[in-house]
Amino acid sequence: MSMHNTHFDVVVIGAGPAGAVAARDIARAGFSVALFEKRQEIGTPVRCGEGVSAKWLHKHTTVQARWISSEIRGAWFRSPDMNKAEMLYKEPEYIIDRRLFDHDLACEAAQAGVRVMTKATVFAIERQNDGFICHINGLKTFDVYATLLVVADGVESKCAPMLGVSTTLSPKDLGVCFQYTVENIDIEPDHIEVIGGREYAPGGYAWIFPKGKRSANIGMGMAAADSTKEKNARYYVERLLETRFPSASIVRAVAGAVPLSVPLKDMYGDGFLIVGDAARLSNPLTGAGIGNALESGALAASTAVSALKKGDASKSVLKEYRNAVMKSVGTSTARFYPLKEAFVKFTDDNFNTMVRVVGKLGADKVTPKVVLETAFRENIGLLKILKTILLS
Amino acid sequence: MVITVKHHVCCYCGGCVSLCPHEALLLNETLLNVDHTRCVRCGLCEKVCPTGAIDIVHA
Repeated sequence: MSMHNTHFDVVVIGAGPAGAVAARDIARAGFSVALFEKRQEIGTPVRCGEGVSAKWLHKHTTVQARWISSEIRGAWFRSPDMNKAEMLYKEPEYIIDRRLFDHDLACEAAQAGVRVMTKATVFAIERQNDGFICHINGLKTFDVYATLLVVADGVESKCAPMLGVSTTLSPKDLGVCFQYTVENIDIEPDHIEVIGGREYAPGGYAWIFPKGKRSANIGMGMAAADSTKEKNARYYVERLLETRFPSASIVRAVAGAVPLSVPLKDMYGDGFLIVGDAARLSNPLTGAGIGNALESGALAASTAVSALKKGDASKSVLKEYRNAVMKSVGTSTARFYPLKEAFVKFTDDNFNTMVRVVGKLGADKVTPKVVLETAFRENIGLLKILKTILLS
Repeated sequence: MVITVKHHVCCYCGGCVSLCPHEALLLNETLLNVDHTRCVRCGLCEKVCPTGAIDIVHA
């Protein structure tokens, strides 16, 4: 059972969705893979709002019923003046159970032949000839050798800096979030609710994501730059809860941090690939990250497999990964960055106008694009801000 | 001045770790550690913590 001094073709660091899919797909191509997770249990504590577009899950795995907390067909946008506008989805979204989802994805990797180990932190990485030595501690202290590394250690990535890639974010490019999972409340189980405005979500948005017929994730996220010690994400969530669901039972507290930046430029280098949140691939406007994490994990696997087949994991070969990611989700994700920069400047009036105009369109005509276009078209000030950002 | 973490309030999101300009913070599973030799007491982590778990204490 000891892995000490074992050589693996690939070591994947971090068993979230991006790491598990990368490990699984590389193993399926016939290469030896180890997947290390610093936590003692995969998937917990959860740090996520748990919303994901159904299409991404179905693209990258066989969806299991036990992952799906609720199937969402639409969204309500609520403005500070308490108006609301409905959007009906063209494709369903899921609110999932990240604890089960992450666990089961790691099990898929294990079944594909990946050596998975939890309570195993990669605390140092050394380059050696044409590969790496990973120093691991946790329940056991040992070293393993790898030809190629996949770095999937999330928002607070420690391994990317070990490889010479700086991942430190500016406070305006990190979303800090808080959420309670609550039970026994009246909600619309197939609609999420998104709340804007100063009262509950200055410089960000608050959400109600159904987790069942009478349960939901109720949270908010804001740019770290706008957070203060007194008025932080938890303060606003508690305020929302007090107003809307004062007698709710709290069954889980969740804090999370989401990169709201453009994708990392150096998401590859000699012998390594960086995936998911560590590569800053979450959507800077919405904070959604699961779909892009799965996609980047799969694309990293495909580049890793062709590099291993060639026997060349140099930067010039691994560059293909970044090209593939940008073509797939990276470029479209990066386009949200200027929108985020303008969105954090939304006033309550901007939200009120947006929801009033969108609300008149009819739910089946509303798409995310329509909502954004309306927000900017109806608010000359915002349009000016956006133009300044785009031209700078 | 010294940074202290109220471990009964911290929800282990790692946000402060990803922002710390001096790499003075490390999240070991559910335990946030401060490396006081690296920390310059800039107070960024205190400000951004979504739960209010970090204090700058004037010693």
